[in-house]
Formats: sequence, structure tokens, C-alpha cells
Amino acid sequence: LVASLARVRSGDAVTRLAATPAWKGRLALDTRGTLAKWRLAFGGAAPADPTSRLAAVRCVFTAYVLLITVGLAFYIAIGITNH
Amino acid sequence: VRFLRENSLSLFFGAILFASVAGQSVAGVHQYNADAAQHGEKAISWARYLVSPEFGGDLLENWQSEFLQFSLYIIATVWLLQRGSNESKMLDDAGLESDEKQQVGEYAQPDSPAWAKAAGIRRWIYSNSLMFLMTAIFFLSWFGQSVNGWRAFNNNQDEHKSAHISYGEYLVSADFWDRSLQNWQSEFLAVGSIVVFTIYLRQRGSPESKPVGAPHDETASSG
Repeated sequence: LVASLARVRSGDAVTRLAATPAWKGRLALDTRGTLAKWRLAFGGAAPADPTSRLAAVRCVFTAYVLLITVGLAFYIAIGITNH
Repeated sequence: VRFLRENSLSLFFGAILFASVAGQSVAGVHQYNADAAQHGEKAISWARYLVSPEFGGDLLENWQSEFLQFSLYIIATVWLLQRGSNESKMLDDAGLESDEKQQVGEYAQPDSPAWAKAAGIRRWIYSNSLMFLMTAIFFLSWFGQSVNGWRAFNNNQDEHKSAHISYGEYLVSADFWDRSLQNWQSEFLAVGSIVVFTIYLRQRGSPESKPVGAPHDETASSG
């Protein structure tokens, strides 16, 4: 249990689960769910979800690329068309 | 809360970018209208100023210099070194480095980007993708500055009852090069300064500085 908790706290539970026997995996999953409830109950953040965290980073990256692309296209068009 | 914390650096700079552009546009339209009043022309609205070549030229003039600075910095730091600087690589690492150190091809990690594992042109493109994008943005911004600057220059010629010039003439004009070089020089000074200042000066906790206790001749360490 302690080892499972340590894995969950490290935020690396999903990848480590793949290498654990099934009963350990179930234990870790149960532990993760319980830990999430505890953290939410006490005002803390939910355990890390690597997929959603990467999606958030992609969102920020895309926002910067879009901002630069739109800004460049818009003002190049203004210059070319002599608005 | 987690999203804000884990992306706070990019969100902070995005927020002050918008604040600065807003401030620039407000100050810019006041300056534009003061100039128009002096020449007996009517004032324009803030919204009209936002889509004017005067504003577009000023905006892209600064963009191009920033992206030139980072493009040069990215490529120059591959080969050029500065002993003692946090901004330099280790003195023995000049160059493109080995595949093993760069974790490409057979040395790629299981979670490495797909194009780092690939061979040939795909790996070459991905290996230089940061420089490619920054350089492309530099050239596009510089082009945008030139066409907007040309239109604004000719608008100014109208106010002074002078003849228009062609785009080609503007590209070799003092106005275009004065605007470009005055931005470039400040970027190069700032980059050179941080390369040299980080040899002897520190900012505790910043990755842009060596650790506070690092020796002055220690190169490439990050605090």
C-alpha cells in the first residue's frame, strides 16, 4: 500500500501500473481514487492526469502559434492592400 | 489552478503582451491624431488606427527584431561559446553534438517525438524546427514591417504634398533601415549583456542564472 501510494504521489501511476501484477494494479487504482477524494475533500488538487496536462500545454502552444499567424497575416494584408 | 500554475510563464507573457499592445495602440492613436491636427487633417478613431499601416508597421517592426534576436541566438549558441556564462554550452560541446547526446535515431527514448526516432529528412527538419519557425516569423514580420512602413511613408508624403515612392525605393530608404537597425542594435546589446552578465551576476532561483554559489568560471550551469 505504501509503495502504491508513493507511485500515485509521484504522478506516474499510469505508466507504472502497466508493469505491475493485476492485484497490485487494482490496489493502486483504488488507492488513487481514494486519494483523489481525500484531496478534493480537503481542498487540494486532484492527482495528476498526464493526458489532460499535456492537452493543456498543447492548448497554450497552439494559442501562441495562432496569435502570431493571425497577427502576421492580418497586418501583412493591411500593408499589401493599403487599407 | 493546476493549469494556471503549470503554464504560468507563457500565460504571464501572453497577458502583458496584450496589455502592452493595448497601451501602444492608445498612445499611438493620440500621437497620430496630434500629428494629423498639425497638418490640418481630421482625427481618426482608435478602431480605425488599429487597422492602419502606421500601427501595423510599428507592431511588426518590433516583432521582427525580437524574432531575429532569438533566431540568431538559437543558431549562434550551437557553435559559439562564452566561458563562465549560463547562456553558453559547455566548452567541449560546440557543434551539433552526437546522436546519443541528442537522443535521436537508435538513441531515442520510448517517449521521444516520432520525428526524433525517424531517419533522413524528417529527423533533419525536426532537429532544426525551432530555428526554422523563428526565422520564418522573422522574415514574415520584416516583410510586414516593410509593406506597412512603405504605406505609412507615402501617407506622410501626402501630408507634406510630396511624391510617393515605390516599394523598391522604400526598401533602400533611410526610413526603412533606420527603423530596422534601431531595433536590432537594442536586441543585440541585450543578448550580449545577458551572455556576459551571467558570468559574474546571479538571480537566485532563475534558470537564466547560474546557481548563486557557482564559481565565476563555471560554464553552462543553471540555477
